[in-house]
Amino acid sequence: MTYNTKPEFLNGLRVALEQNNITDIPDILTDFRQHFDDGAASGESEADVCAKLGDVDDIVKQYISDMEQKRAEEQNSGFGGNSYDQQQTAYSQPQQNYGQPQYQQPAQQSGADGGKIAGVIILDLLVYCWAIPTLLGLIVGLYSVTVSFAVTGVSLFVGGLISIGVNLSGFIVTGLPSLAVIAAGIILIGFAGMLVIASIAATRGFINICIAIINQHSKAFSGKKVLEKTGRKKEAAVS
Amino acid sequence: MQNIIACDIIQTYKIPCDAKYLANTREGSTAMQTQLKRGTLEMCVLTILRRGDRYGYELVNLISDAMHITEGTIYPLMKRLKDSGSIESYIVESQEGPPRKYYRITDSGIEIQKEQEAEWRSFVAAVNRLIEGEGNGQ
Repeated sequence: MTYNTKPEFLNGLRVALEQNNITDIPDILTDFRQHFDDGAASGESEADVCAKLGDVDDIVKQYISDMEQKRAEEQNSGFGGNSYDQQQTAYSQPQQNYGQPQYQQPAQQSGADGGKIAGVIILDLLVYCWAIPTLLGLIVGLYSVTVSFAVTGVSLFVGGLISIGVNLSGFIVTGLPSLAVIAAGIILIGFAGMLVIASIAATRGFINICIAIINQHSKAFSGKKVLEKTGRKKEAAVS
Repeated sequence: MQNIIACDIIQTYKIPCDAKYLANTREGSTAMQTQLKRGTLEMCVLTILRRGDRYGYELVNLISDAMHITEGTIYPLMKRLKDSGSIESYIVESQEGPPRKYYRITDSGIEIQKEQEAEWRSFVAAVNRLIEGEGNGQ
């Protein structure tokens, strides 16, 4: 599209840039606006400037090609290529290579995604049928042991105290001296305390495993990690 | 490069005034000339900026005086050079009109320009050797 006036040109340029999702559009428009102003200051008419600037579509094609080249370079870092080759292809075949990034390897990417999806499905079977129930069982077991240790420990401790205080050896038949009972109680409470810490760690670990599974799913399907892991564990680096 | 046409190369690089005449008519630009201009445009911009800072309109006119090219496509090139760190821009306030954006080459841009100029010179020398070799053979 060619135009004859500054506002038409700038508007046509803006629309074409927006349609193609080019970044930094206000900066681009400022550049061209300044170009028109400098042209006017040099005595050029808006129509002259428009004619010399050329076809808006050619200009926008260049922005598109640069943007995609940049994206391709970011994906394949280190594969900068030869500026001559890239510019030749972009300019000499505008119809064919319109919007084609230069060094993309789509086959490799979809292969990796396919592998990831297959891995996720296998992981799903393993996880739902075996690992999660087992882990849940273990964690519930851990809670139970913690609680029972705590309760038993407290009972022994209190019972031992009572038997000392009340001196009713006939009522409470432990077969053990009271101090030993109290000591046993304290030991069990101590174990319970450690088990509480273990339970918290196990719960956190289980939640992290769940989060990792969810992330693996979301990565396979959308390439992004959705949740952050909790606790002190660092995320495993997965490229 | 395919389809090197000897006379075009001679016209474009050994006899500048003829090239300018050809370049002034769109039809006069062959596909090869177009490719070559595009391929060397970055080097030309960096070379100009190495000699001194310029603002957009000034730069565009300097280049279009040297070779015929769609002027508007120089701005995408400036954006690309800025994104890659070869050039940077700064604003200069002016009493007469709106503030102007000037372009300046960076150190990494200077390095790139030196490389490109060296590549260009060796390429032109190689092609010229080829052409002169063919002429002597006949």
